[in-house]
Amino acid sequence: MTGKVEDVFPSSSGQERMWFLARFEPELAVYNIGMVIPMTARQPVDPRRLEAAIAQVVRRHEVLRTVFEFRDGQVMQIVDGTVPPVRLTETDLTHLPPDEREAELARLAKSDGVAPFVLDRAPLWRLRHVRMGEDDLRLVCVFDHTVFDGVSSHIFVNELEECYDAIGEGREPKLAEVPIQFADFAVWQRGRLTGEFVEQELAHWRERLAGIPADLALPADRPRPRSRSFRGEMHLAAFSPETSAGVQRLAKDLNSTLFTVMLTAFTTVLARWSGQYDVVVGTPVAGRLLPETEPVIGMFVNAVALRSDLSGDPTFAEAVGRVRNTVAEALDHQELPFERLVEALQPTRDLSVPPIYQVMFNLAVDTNEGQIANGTAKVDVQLDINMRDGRLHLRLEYGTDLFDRPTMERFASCLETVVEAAIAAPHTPISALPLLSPAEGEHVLALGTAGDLEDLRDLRGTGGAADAADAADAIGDGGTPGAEATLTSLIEAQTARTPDAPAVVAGDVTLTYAELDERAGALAHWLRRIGVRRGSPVAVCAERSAELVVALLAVLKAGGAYVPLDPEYPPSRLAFMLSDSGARVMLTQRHLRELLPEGAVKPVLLDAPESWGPQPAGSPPPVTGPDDAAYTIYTSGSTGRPKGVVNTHRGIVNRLAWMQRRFGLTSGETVLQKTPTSFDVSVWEFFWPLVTGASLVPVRPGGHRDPTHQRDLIKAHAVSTVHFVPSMLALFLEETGIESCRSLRRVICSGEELPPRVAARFFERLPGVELHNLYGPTEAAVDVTAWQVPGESPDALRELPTLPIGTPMPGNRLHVLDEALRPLPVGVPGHLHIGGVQVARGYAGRPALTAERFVPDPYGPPGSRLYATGDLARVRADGNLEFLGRLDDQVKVHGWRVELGEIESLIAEHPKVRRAIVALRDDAPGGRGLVGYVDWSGDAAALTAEMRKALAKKLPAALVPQAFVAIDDVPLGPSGKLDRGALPAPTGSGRADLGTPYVEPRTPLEAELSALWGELLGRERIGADDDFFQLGGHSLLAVLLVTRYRETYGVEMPLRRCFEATTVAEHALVVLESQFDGDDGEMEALLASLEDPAHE
Amino acid sequence: MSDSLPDTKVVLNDEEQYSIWPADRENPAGWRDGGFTGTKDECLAHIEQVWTDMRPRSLREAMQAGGAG
Repeated sequence: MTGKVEDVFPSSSGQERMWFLARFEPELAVYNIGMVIPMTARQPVDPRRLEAAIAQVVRRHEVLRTVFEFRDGQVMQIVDGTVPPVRLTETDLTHLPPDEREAELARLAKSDGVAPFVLDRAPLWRLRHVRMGEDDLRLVCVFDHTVFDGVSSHIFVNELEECYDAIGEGREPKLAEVPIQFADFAVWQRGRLTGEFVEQELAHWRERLAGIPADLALPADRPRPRSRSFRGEMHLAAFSPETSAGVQRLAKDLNSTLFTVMLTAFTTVLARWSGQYDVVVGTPVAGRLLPETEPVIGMFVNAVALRSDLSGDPTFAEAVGRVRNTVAEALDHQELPFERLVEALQPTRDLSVPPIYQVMFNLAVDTNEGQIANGTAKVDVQLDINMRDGRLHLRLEYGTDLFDRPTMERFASCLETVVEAAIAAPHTPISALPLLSPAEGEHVLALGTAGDLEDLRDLRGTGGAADAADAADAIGDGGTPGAEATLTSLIEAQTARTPDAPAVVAGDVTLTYAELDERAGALAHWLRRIGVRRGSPVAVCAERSAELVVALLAVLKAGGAYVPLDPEYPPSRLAFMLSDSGARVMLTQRHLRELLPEGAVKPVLLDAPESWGPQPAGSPPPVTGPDDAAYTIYTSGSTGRPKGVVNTHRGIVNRLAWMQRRFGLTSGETVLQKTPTSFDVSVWEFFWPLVTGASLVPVRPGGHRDPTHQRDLIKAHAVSTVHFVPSMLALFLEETGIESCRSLRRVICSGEELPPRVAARFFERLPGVELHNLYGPTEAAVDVTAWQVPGESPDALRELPTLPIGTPMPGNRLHVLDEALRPLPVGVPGHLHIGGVQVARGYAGRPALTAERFVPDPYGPPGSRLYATGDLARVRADGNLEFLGRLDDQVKVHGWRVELGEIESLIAEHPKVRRAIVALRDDAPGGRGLVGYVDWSGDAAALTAEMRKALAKKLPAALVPQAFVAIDDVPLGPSGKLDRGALPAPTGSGRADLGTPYVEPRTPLEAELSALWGELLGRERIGADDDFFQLGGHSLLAVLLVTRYRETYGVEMPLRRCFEATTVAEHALVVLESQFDGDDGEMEALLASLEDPAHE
Repeated sequence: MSDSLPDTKVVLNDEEQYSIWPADRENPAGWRDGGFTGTKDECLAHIEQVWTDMRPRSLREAMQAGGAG
């Protein structure tokens, strides 16, 4: 540095942030500003004269001679007093064919644009001239954002052109003296941002941004990675001239501006896509409030947060008013540098989410042409708009961590549709503004619409004397082939075809089709005798057995609808269902009789056929048609008493026909019957084999929980088809010897979300076996969608965030709708509705509930109904549906909107976890928050520590449960579903959950700290070696803790130290160190701001 | 449909199955007004009273004609 003239200044607040970011992500050039200057009016350009002109500009602006160094704990600007000669990198493209030159120029510009600068090495810009032709020389400029901003680029181009012209004309450039330099501004700003002013500004923003959502969480193509890559792409679009003119007219009519109207439309689409109506959008401000800064190159730009509340369904015009107020107020408080706001508001925020706002909006006054895309994105989505040539141009820069291009194309299209609708009718409530054009709406509805009804001729079954004539008789001859078929008619037809084939093989008992028919016929006669009529509900309470199959078929033959009562249910629950169903007859077994109340119900003992009395041969004449009820299965809702879902023959027959066409079950194949009758999966386990000539093998009572028994049974009976709920499949896959289940051809999953890791494990253990993921509620005849899981690459499968539930089965329609029952765009989560032939009749004896959940179907045949599932789902572009959880399972924790099931499945990924439940509780240690209940095979004392460690890699800190409780049993309601209310309270003030001995604090400071911790955490007796997070501490409590240290000990403990030093003893050390060593503390504070790679 | 505003109406289809619909929106094809408007809860309470036989009309008629039931 000898002989070098340099001036040293503190850096501005924004420069400091950029410096830290560059240290944090040295490979990224997120904040490079690149442009290609065409020099159109000055061709042919003389490169030497251009260099001289650039040198003049560099002489005028010290910031273009500035680098940064970290000196004495501070980031300093070092200004070189001399102006080094400017040399342009020269590239000649004239050797290329003319049509390839533009592409090569773009490639060069991008490669210049993506190379990061090293901030202590001058210059912090790079220039290249590219010869495109003899008379066409372009200038590619890339600047580091620490020394440049958007306004700077206009100053730079204007001055460059004037200097170039002046040199050519041999005169001085007509440029006013630069009144101040950027460093002067930085020094001034440092002074300004102290004391009362900054406190007032911070207070304003703290209040204005209190309780903002931690993440807008636009529906993305991929989950957020743990740390952002900042990689991005852009999508360009333009409104039609009519719409462009319309939006300007609308702005005028509403006494507003293009900026505000477009921001309102943008915010509306963000709200509708995300489902959050409290939306924060960032926007850049020039930061040149002082007039003397106007002609100065440098990084003045700042960003402000625009928080708009679109709740309460305002009209678009009203929303414009709200947004206008938001903008005006934000501009009144625009001086506080954004990074200061981040430090104040979200000091411990997660590195994966852009802080405060995740989307930006910007009205570019000048054109964006010439701007170099360098493959980065500062936030999730940034919309720049620009009116030129009578059209509104959109530039969407989006993070490719989250989004694919088609999603952003749909986003842009939604924005245009909303704008068009707002122009046409600005007083429309924003919820009623369409997101989709009519054509797009029809497209997305069509994605969820399967073909016609299943052709029941597929249900002809196989083997024996089957022929087309028999089958046609069996399935009737209505308009649709087989439209008059019922379960009974199909089974009887199959019996005629294969009378001697085994139908049920239960232990020692084998019933042929003929024998099954005969017994069921006899019982049906008896049922008629004792009062069962067409449509009568008949309770069936029996263990899995041949008798159970006889019972179900007998009820159907008698014309009734069976009401399964699971013998494992508590007697009070059974009594309720029995009385609620109105059944007057109950089929049961001797040993189960005492389970159920006597009285109004006449019991029929399945294992005492002699008690039925003599019956005529054959079956009673059929009385039911396809619209008669076949079964009523009880489900428990999220609230209230269980309700019986009445399903028709037509629905279940369509479901079976799909299964037969899809899998082609043949006579000789065997299906395992392991699902309890109370779960509707059992319906196909019983009847699919019986309408196709195959046989069913019931697992023994209780055997549905016993993988060893299941494995043995599959081998012994050469079973080809088995159903598992995914959690049972996971257990089965760990059973030894399942490779030897060679007969197994397909496994059907439903009932819960199928985790990708279970699917991956499946193909590792059972290569060559098919795995199918099905979805459907009891209210729509078992299943309505299906997806075959591809098994080629288990490892690839494991990496998927979720597996789809597939596409609708024929005869069904699945629509993802908003609250007004309008279709939502592809990819946007909404309420899943089911229409079509499998929709149940309703809830037995519950007219109001039925009317509420079975709603008019605007998209189906006249008078049809949609079942509102209460499930959250979205349609993928390929038409496959993704299940996203229950609508009412979403909770908000520390500003995050979260699906409890999501956290549960992350916990369940731990190899020692058998099952996990997460609940939001008011009695969590440290206050309202999440508690994880874990069925844990590891050391109980290690639960909390191991869970925290595992989840820290997968979840934002705020979403890691505050406490973990080991449980042996999941409390189940009577229906077998989880009973959240019965979960135990997390261990309160004791230390049983910690599994570590109490260590007496050893110094007065340790004793003080342990008392302070106890106060914050609501615990007594905190030991010196206790861990803050194991005690239930979380990031927000850590903020409180640091504040208390500041107040009590006058030390600034950087928050990140709370995550490194976690015990009382360690904290005591940190406090002591900070008290004795101010310099280090300052360094730590600086390092702590590394956590804030903020954006603008 | 809001929980507190009388913005909901009772509707029924040709099978005399009941449901609810926003009062200010046109009924989907095949649905007619059931002659009751109120809050969502009031409409559902009304349906609880009037929808006494939940079998679809065509089934009910077929069963009556068949003499079964």
